[in-house]
Amino acid sequence: MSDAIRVLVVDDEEDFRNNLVKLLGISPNIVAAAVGSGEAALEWLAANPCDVVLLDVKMPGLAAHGTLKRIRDAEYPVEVIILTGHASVDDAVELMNLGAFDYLLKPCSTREIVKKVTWAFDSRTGK
Amino acid sequence: MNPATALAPAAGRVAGWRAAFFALLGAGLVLAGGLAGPSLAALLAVAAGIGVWAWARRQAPAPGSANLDINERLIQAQKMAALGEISAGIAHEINTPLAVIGQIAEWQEHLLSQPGAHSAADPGVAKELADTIAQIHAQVGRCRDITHNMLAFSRRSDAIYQDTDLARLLEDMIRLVEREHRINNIVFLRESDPDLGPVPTDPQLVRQVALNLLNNAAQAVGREGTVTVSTGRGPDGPCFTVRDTGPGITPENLERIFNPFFTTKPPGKGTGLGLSICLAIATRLGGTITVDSAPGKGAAFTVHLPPTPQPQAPEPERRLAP
Repeated sequence: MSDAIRVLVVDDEEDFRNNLVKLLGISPNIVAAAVGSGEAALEWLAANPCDVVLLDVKMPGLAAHGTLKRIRDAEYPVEVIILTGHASVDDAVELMNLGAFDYLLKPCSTREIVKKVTWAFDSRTGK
Repeated sequence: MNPATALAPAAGRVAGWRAAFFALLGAGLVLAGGLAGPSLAALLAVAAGIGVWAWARRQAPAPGSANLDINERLIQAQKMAALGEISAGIAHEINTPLAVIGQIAEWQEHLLSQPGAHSAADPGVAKELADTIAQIHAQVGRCRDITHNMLAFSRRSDAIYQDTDLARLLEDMIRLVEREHRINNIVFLRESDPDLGPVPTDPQLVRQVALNLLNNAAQAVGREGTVTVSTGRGPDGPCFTVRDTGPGITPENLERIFNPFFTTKPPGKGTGLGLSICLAIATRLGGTITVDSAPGKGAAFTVHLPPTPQPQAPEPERRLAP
């Protein structure tokens, strides 16, 4: 893989998102950034190129549903992986039907996240 | 193949097991709460108390309970609903700090693996550090299994029936697990009965059952095998089957697989709650689960649903209607 995968972590839990950016950074082929809300994610995406978004479900303001809809409406060329502490199967199905690539339940290992990020990137670039 | 083993008699015991589960979970939560801080401890103690109380009330109605005051029944129903919300909230609140603890352990692992990290400590200490970090991971995994199962238990207790496309529902669930297991060469096959038509059931609850059965089947296969999901009509109504090509279940274990906390997985790999939750949900929907398995011949779990919505006798609030 020649180009790095650009990942945006969207989570209102500051420790979680900052740690995740550090841990994703251990992978040589991932460059990660983080924001704390759905609104900030949309602003960030408008200004920066990105491949994969890791999106928390429950956040103040624009939650996952609204953020995902707006990402799709704006036709940003990103895959979205849902990363949540709220293990509701129904949410997962609804978000997958809204176009999310996959979902992960917290807590999960960074290895697991990297695996899904790589799948999402490969599927987007048609590998 | 053995004839399908009907587990309906086990269903009656499930409610009692659930009460035991909540009592145990409650005790565990109070302990955990004591370690985590006073405010959380208080919240957990309240939740555990309501849980044990509510289940005890449901399991052992007093002899004159048919004459229970309507107000009292309403309060009871409200407490059950509150319990569901509290446990879902607790599980969600705990998952986030658990995730952060896991991340920190990973970061420590990373630091320890850096060249030169060992030079400061003697090799024995470095080894011990690595072992203790592995223990943090294992314990985070255990807590995660508990919180994820708490969420499954905390779902609202009354079923909401609607006409459901069973094949579509199963397809949604297969999509959630398929990619995960493709890497191990597990193939998911679909065999839908095109004449089945809409099934009157609670799709939210059936999804939970299907997801548990699919994950179990894939774990039983491990790698290189198939999981076949079929729908059809049994003698008593619509049904679906999840069949795997795994190692099968021994006759001794077959009698125990629906018992809460029974698991054949190594410690820390499973809570043993998945199938007991599935059976509890199937029973609540007026159906049951049968299993057909023998060592070396894989396993097939069939969820039988009633052909029409079932009146829910155990729900006290349902009997309020004139």
